[in-house]
Amino acid sequence: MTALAREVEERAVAERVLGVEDLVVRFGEVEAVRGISFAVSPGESFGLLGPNGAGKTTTIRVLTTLLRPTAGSAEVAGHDVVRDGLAVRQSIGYVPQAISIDGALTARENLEFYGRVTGVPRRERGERIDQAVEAMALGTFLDRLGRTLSGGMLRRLEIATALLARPQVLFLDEPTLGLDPTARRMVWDRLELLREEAGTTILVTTHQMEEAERQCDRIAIMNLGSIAATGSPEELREQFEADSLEDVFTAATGGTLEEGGSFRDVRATRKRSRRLA
Amino acid sequence: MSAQPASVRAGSLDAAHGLAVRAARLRDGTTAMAWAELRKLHHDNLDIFTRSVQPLLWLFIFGTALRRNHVLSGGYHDYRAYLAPGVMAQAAHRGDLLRPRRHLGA
Repeated sequence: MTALAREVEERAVAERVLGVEDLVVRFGEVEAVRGISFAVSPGESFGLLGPNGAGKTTTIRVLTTLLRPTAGSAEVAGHDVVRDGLAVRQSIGYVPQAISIDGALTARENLEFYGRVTGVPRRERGERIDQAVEAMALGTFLDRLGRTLSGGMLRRLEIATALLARPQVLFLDEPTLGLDPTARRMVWDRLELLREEAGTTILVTTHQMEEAERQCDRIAIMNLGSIAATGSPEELREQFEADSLEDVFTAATGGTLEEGGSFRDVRATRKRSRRLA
Repeated sequence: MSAQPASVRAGSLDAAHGLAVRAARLRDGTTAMAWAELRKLHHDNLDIFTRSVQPLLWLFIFGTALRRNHVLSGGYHDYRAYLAPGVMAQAAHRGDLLRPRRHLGA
């Protein structure tokens, strides 16, 4: 790790809005996450990369309080994910891989529904929905049923629902999976704008190297439950003496691309991609 | 859109552990679910009919096919008498168990 990378890492630990220390998650005999540690500064865009089965989604599930860690600790917005789960949930927005929009409701009704279940006060709900609609540019399809929306529209709508509670940290699990390049660009443009205007911290998992390179301030590459490398895209390229982040990824994961991911994962991913296309 | 600073949020988070807050969240969640179901019915009026009739159809099909099965009937002579309360409860609960989910992510 270079001196600059170490300085950035130390600053992230000191000012962190999100911190993970020696996190371990076991499912029976399988150790999905093996003692990882990292920190994210406020307003930062942090990418978790890794092959299928590397432990990215498991890590996000712990940070969003959906899964209890076996060992270690994690804090989000100053709250412990195990002891203070409710406080963590009030501080975050989460867009999972699976589509979370109700197809039988309109876009506006989905926003209203999420506003209600996430406890947005009634008097503020209308204003926050308007802000989320503006932030994700949803104006033109607000009255269309969820099942009639395109993949890009769905993803933007999901991100808008996650913004209603004004999260300090936004978790995005493969937000551009199955989207065409134009829809991807639109999603990222909106997220970039959100960071600039609201200073929202973003933690994202993706398989798209060029997206990670363009959008993330720092990246952690996970492999078989451990963090194989951390740093900004430039630092990682220098560290691995590679021309592109894709080469860094291959070097850091030791070419284990074909080892991760079960048949079930692949089937679920393809199914989701078809729905979003 | 602007994020709230951590200091502003802290007060509300302390209170979030209280029983009253949890009860309010339960109430809001239940109301929200009911509201969403009503909105769905508003978009698809025919749904009211299918939600009502489908459980009766299952009562007829299962009831007729298994009416002589004494193991399943739990002591009743007619399996339909045993089945009916459950099917009615299911009809009241909008027949979710036998309906394909409308949720896109399901």
